[in-house]
This record gives sequence, C-alpha cells and structure tokens, in this order.
Amino acid sequence: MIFAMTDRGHPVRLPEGSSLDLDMIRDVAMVSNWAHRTLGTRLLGLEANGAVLGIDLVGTASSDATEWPNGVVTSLIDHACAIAALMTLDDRARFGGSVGLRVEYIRPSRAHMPLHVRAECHHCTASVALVHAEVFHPDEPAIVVAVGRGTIAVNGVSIGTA
Amino acid sequence: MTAVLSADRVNELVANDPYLTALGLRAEEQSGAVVVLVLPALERHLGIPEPGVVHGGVIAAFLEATASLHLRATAESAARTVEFTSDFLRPVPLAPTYAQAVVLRHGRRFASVRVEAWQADRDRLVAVGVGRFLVDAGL
Repeated sequence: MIFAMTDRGHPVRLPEGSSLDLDMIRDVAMVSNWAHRTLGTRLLGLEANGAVLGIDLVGTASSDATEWPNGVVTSLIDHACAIAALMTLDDRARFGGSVGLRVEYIRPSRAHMPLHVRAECHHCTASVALVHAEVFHPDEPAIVVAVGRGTIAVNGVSIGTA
Repeated sequence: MTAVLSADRVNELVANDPYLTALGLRAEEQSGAVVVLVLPALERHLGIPEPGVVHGGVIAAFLEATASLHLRATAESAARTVEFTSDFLRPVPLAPTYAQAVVLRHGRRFASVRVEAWQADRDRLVAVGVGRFLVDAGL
C-alpha cells in the first residue's frame, strides 16, 4: 500500500467528482516513475485540475551546496505537470507523455529547505493539456523559485480533430 | 573568447557536481573531434516502466546540463540558467542518449544555447532544447 500524507499529516484525498483511483495516482507519482522514486518525490495534494508534489531533501547535493540542482527542479516540474494533466483528464488511458517543457528560474532556491511544486492544468483539448507550475519552499509559499509550463499529450483522438 | 570544448574539462565539471554524477553524465570525444555528452541507460532514469521510456524530466535536465556544461567548459565562466525550453520529439527508450550543444550567441551578459539529443541515429533527434544563460562575471 502506497501511503501519501500532506505536510499537515492528513492523507492525500481525491477531489470531489474525480473518478480516478487514488492508489493509481500515488503509484504514478511516487513508485512506478523510477526517476521520482529515486528522488524521493512525494505526492502532497490533489485538486480537480492540479497536484502538489514535493521533495524533502536532495540526496545528490553536496553538503556545501546552496541551491537545489536545476535538474531536480526541472524534473519535479515535469512530473507535477503530468499529474495535473491526469487530474484534468480524469482518465488514465488518455494520459500521454510530456511533449514540451519550459522552465524559468526566478530566484535561487535554498538547498536545505524542502522543495514543493504546485501545478495546475489551465487548458485541455482533445489532443493536448497545457499546465502551469510554480516551485516554492513550503515555509515561504508566496515566494516563487521557478515557474514552468508543461505540454502533455492527450491520447485517444486522431491528429487534426482537436 | 571561447575555447574548444574538451571532454576532460567537462568530465572534471561533472565530477564536482553530485547531481550530474548521479545522472551518470560523461563527455566523450567522437570522430571528427566532436565532444558529446552521454546519458547512460540506467533504470533509475525511467518514467513509467511498462513502456520503458526515459522520464521527460531527466531528458530536460540532460539537455540543460549539456548547455550549461558547454558554456562553463569553453568560456570558463559561471552560467546561471535564466530559462530553458525542451521539446520532447519522440519517446526515448532506455538506451545511451547523446547530446551536443551549439552556442547561438555568447554576449557579455547572456548566452543562448541550442542542444540536440539523439540515440543510435544522429539524424533522428529524440529531443531538442534551447536556453538563455546569464554568463555575467558578477554571478
């Protein structure tokens, strides 16, 4: 059993109206994705069109590192965008892979503070889901470290019919 | 003034970066003195194991690292990423992936870099990226 807890110790819940299986989402977010299982990514929250993921500590940073590696920030954004798209699609079978990702680094992150990302799917057609993501430290949620835009493929409809 | 890219210099930079070391990155010189970055086929790079494709976040990190390492190894200056855009052109199966950076412009403050990534066939790109880096001496 995969267990996900929010930072306040409450279990992550499905938003009202979602027909997805919570264990499936937890599995996609934290277990089946080997890259994020390695990073120790946690599922922290789910919304109708969004998701919050986090990493507590970066195991691959040197002790004197002052910032999170850009690659971890990038990977976390990509993954959160995918989960947000899954929430909007509300159908695992229509959930495709990432086809594009843009990351803007707003300010230096702090290596020894947990890193969270909040992603929201703001537009979805029959062929693509467009997702916006913000990266922050949970102690300072209003201070954005990086923003990202992900484009996720939607399965099940032929090209040209979007 | 930028220098010729040296695989040894890139590998030295990777060795001092625990995250890039964990990714398994290394530079190698190919025919024609072309230096490319190599992302090895490691299971920990997989996204979802059933299709056996590398996670998009890992590919994006690889592209950005290739651009950043190129700037740092040739110009010997810091390179802070301002923005980086990755296009995932096709699924990337678990096999060695190669990337090469081209500096589009290196100004006094900013550098723009394009990166191409491929696997067995150099002409069949799996991903491309383009980014803008702050290369100010005052970083």
